[in-house]
Amino acid sequence: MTKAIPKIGSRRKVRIGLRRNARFSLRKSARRITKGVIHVQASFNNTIITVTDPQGRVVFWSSAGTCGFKSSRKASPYAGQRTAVDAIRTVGLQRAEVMVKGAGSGRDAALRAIAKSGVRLSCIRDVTPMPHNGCRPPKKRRL
Amino acid sequence: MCAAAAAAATAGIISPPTPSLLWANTRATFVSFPRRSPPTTSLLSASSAPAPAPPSANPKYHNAKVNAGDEEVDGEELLQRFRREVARAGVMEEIRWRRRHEDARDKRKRKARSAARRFRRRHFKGPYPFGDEQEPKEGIMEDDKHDNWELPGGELPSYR
Repeated sequence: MTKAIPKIGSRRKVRIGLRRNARFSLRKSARRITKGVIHVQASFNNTIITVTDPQGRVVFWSSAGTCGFKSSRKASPYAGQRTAVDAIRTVGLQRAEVMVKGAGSGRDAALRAIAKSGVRLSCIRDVTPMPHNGCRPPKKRRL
Repeated sequence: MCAAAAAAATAGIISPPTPSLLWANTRATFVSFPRRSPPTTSLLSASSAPAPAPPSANPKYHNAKVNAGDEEVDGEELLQRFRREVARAGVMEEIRWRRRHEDARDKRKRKARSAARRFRRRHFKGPYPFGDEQEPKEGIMEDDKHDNWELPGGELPSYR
């Protein structure tokens, strides 16, 4: 089921005068950094891993869909693990801080893969957004 | 719109850490690196304001947090500590019940169940009541007249 899909890295900044030549500034491989932040976003249907530098600029991102999983298999723990391994291996981090968001099934698998990958973690934090009694959530689903 | 966002970022920077700072940081991060590059005037106005700190630098922007400190901590151990902190903070339960709207009955039901779980996990620390079988032992311990502790009077008998 899983297949290798070639990915294009982050887009470089393009000036106004050179906008028509934007295609030449695309990166074919990710920028390799030593220290960064790993953002894990585990929703109930997908898992997205984004690696940024300490200032917050995106270096590389990966998701269960880009690793070849589709429909309900994107929400599996194995997809989360594959996504995390793919992101970390591509960037080649040595020291990282982890920010976790969401409570999907790929969350624990991705965190375990990050912990076992050999990257030294300085901090792990959960930054799931919690409304302070905001707008009304959708109604309960009747099965 | 970009000017308003820059003004919001500036206001967020000046004020002490408040929820508006969180929101300002989020918008500022979006403004700092747009997908399509803004015109030159917006770039100049954006660069005039000082660069805002990323959300990860904000110390209050998390539900649960685990620090490794100066020592080299193993990833597995740090992950276990993080999972324990998340369980203690109750992040997963809150995410679960905030996902769907709940009416008064559902809210009452949730509170009752969480209270029952909390009570079940509680450890008993009270005094233990003494039963009836404790009495004979106390009687035996308290009796001084039959302990045969006193030495017999007089001289010791000679063996010759």
